[in-house]
Amino acid sequence: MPFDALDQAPDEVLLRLYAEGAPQAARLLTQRITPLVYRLAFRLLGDRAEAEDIAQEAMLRLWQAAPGWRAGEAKVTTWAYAVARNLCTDRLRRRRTRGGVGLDEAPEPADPAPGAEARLTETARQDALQAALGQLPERQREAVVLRHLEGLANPEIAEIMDISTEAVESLTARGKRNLAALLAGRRAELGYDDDH
Amino acid sequence: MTTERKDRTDDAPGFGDLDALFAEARGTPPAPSGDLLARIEAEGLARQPRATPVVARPAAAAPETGRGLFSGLAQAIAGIGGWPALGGLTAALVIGFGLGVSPPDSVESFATELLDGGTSAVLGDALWTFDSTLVEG
Repeated sequence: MPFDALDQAPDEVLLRLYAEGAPQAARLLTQRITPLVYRLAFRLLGDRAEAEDIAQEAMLRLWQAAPGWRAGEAKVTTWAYAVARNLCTDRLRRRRTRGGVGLDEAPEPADPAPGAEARLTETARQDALQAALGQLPERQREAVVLRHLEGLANPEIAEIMDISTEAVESLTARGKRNLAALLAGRRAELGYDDDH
Repeated sequence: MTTERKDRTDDAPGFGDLDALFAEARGTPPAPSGDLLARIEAEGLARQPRATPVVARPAAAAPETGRGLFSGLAQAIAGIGGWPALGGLTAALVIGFGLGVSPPDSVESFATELLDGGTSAVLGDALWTFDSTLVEG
């Protein structure tokens, strides 16, 4: 199969080709799946180095799962999200048992320099979002990130989190409400008008 | 990423800013470094199962299949299942030929009875036995 045709191949086909020894499949799967697991890990952990570790571990598990992958059992991306999410859960649990400061307990970032008119840049706004996400309870954070930042549908999130679709809806709603409350006092800093 | 659909909080008051923030975040996602991608690809290649050499064998044998009579013979043998099948076929031919030249007594008497018109008697006996089995169980 020429490289261009492989580029259009579904993930599951690439995984089978990988298991059969096609080197292009390794490259394409790396390019497709790594960004997803990295993004999720970064959003859940708030740390780039840890997100890199999670992405590398999740991809290692994908390579190991390839030879025994059963067609039609699960979407490759859903499987990868679920693996990354479980790895993040383990990482957060270890943080808690070590007594370190988890994201849930992390303080809000310091207010910007005096002068309320100074508006945060886009990067700073995203930092504020990330900090607020870190203050959400773990499962709410997962549901909000998967729903609103990864753009997944509720049934897929339910599969990733191994809960019902109704539970996903409830977690997302509560998470979003909490986020809005966390960011409410900073609307001016974030560059939003108060009369919205 | 799939297209975002509305849920029950999307129209609630105060969520408009949040949705704008989410949209901005989706537009500028945190991305893995090129170095990380290279490491992951290298690990994938190092752990990749090797391709099986099944493809190489027909290519090596290919020149022999292109020569006249031998080519046809090889294809015919392959068509009946290869050399093992040819061995079985040869054995059957030899045994058949032997039976024809020098048949055993039982075969000869059955053939004689069949050709001399004793067929109905033989069949009659067989049907009677079958009928008795059905009645008596």
